[in-house]
Amino acid sequence: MSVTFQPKGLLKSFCREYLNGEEIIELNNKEGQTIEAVCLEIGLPLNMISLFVVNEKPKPKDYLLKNGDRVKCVAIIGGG
Amino acid sequence: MKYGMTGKILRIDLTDLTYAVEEPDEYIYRTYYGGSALACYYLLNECPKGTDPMGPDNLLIFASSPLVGSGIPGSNRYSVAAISPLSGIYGEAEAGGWWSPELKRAGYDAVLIKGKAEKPVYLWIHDGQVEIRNAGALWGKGTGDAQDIIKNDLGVKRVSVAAIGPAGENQVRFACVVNGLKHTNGRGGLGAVMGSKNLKAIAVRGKQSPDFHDKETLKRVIEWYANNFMDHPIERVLHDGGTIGWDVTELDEAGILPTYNFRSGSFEKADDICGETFHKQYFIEAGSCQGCVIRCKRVARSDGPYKVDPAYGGPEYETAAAFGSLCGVSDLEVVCKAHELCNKYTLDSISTGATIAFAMECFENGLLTAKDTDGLELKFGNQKAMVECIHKVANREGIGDLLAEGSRRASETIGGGAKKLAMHVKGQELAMHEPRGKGSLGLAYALSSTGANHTEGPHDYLFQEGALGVSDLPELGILEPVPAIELTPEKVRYFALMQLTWNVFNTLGLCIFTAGPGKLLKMNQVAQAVEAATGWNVTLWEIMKLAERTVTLKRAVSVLHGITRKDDCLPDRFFQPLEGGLLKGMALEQEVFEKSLDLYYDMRGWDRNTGIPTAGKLVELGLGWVNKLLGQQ
Repeated sequence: MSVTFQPKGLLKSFCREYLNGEEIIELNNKEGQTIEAVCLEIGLPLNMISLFVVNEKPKPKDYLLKNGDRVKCVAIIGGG
Repeated sequence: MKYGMTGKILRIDLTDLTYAVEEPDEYIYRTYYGGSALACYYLLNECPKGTDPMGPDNLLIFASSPLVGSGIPGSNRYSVAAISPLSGIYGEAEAGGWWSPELKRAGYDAVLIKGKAEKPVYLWIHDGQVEIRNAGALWGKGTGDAQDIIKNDLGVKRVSVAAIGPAGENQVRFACVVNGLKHTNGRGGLGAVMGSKNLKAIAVRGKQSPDFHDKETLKRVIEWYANNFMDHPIERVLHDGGTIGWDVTELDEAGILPTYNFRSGSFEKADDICGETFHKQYFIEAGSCQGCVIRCKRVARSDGPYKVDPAYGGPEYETAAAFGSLCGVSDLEVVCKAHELCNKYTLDSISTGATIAFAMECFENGLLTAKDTDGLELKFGNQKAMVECIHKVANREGIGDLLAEGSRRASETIGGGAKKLAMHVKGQELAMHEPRGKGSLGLAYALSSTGANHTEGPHDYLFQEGALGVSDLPELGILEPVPAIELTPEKVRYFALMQLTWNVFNTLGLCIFTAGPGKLLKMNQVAQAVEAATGWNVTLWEIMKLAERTVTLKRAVSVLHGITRKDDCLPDRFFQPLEGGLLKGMALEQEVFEKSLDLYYDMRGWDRNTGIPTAGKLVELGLGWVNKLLGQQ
């Protein structure tokens, strides 16, 4: 009964304690919660995240999580 | 000028090997400040239509600004400008480092260079003194050797050197200028203009900083910034990972990582060229520009087969994508080597990578064959061929001589449908950002007066719901989020405003990574800093008007040199579906795009049919004198 969150790139630096050296954070009992709520819980800065991809499809931050969802969090800023 | 500037402009005539010093009236400084606006003022006055970009009459300008040297983070930049040999219109590029503050300490706000030296020379500007010195021993050298020889020649270690390498000498149309081996005035081929004048380098050193009006206020802002930047999420990620650390993986995931010459938005080996891989394998330390706590620069080293020299810094995101996904290359050591070669030869890494990617697609379509490429199998992913191509371009050898002309000219020479594969606007290659996934970025590329330019304004994702940019500029009427991908009238309004914020930084000598929308230092604080530096009563209104004047001046230079509305366009590819990635199938709509251009011209006070700034707008901006140049009353 879990969902996974994968912060991409430098977003990892905001939730290292949850990642514990891994690429993906596995979280239990999050069904019915929003992506936004879980991001806040694990320390991801919402105002930097441009895109949530759930099971390879873009979803809004108020998407209600389902068991087995795989969520990628992506910050898009712009180069230099 | 009492504060912020030296009040002196240095003029060099390389034909006569003479120099003169001008002291412009204060109203010139208050109207044009510095950087790109000041450069445009001189270009409009002194480079008429028909000026040969590689000829002695082209005016090459190095321009600093009042904020430079004040210590405000990011206030260390300068513009290099001229008529561009790549586009034939306005050419401008900015760089950080130490060169700009050092120029002011040496006694000058700007250097204007005309003519052509009979033999190679370099300039030595120090404590108000000017020497035009023999550069015979430097010609043919890369930037590293050239800088070493200059330092030995002068007997001064802490001299700051802006130089060209062989690519500039050989007048590669996208040759750049590099200072301190790793800070590049990248775009527009301004290194080729230096080469055409037989000017190898400008070395600067000085002991006297200009006086700043309100040092206490400046100090307070500097300390506040240092104490707070790590609490700002974007400044923090820039500090932790530089630009290579914040883009490749993210853009790939979003389906907007330019791949295979912009055919796809996703690269199957993106993880191999991303910031994390870079930091694990090739990163040795973070670097900085003068007085900046962000330290976004990366330094790379490799002792592997390609041996990467850390003296030349490390790749930015643009370089990683241009030599990585755009060319289908997944070996990050090769990307780091390509970066080193670009800084050594002085090649713009964006145009170099983009032109090679163009050639790769030509090769794969049979428009170029091994016979044309000196035997190189110039296919996507062939990293050895890519590196060989960089050498050939810099030295104009074989296929390199054709590619050194840039993708637009090369496509005209190749013919047979090659034009459709050249990803440029007004002759300048697109940077590594995909307009099919960022609604206003396409407008930025199409409307920039220098040709395709990714730093025309902040990108769309900054203003979508919940993003940082939405709350940054209520004083400018930015109050509601707008979706990232769509191109709507409201998005055009945002772009028109945001274009002003980033353009004014090129006039103020300020970095877009420390200030402006989505960054720590807000626009109101920028106005306060300028007031503290100059002693003028400066408001946000004046800064935004200065920005509008800057954008309009740049447009006027390019209009004078031949562009009209028909040049404000994008390559056909962007109106075709993306072939891969999350946004597969996404395409821009021509009708929406044209209507957005109409709206933009209306907002900017430019004529819808011609794209020329109207007579009234020019007068309103205090630029009435430009009307005569453009044939308007």
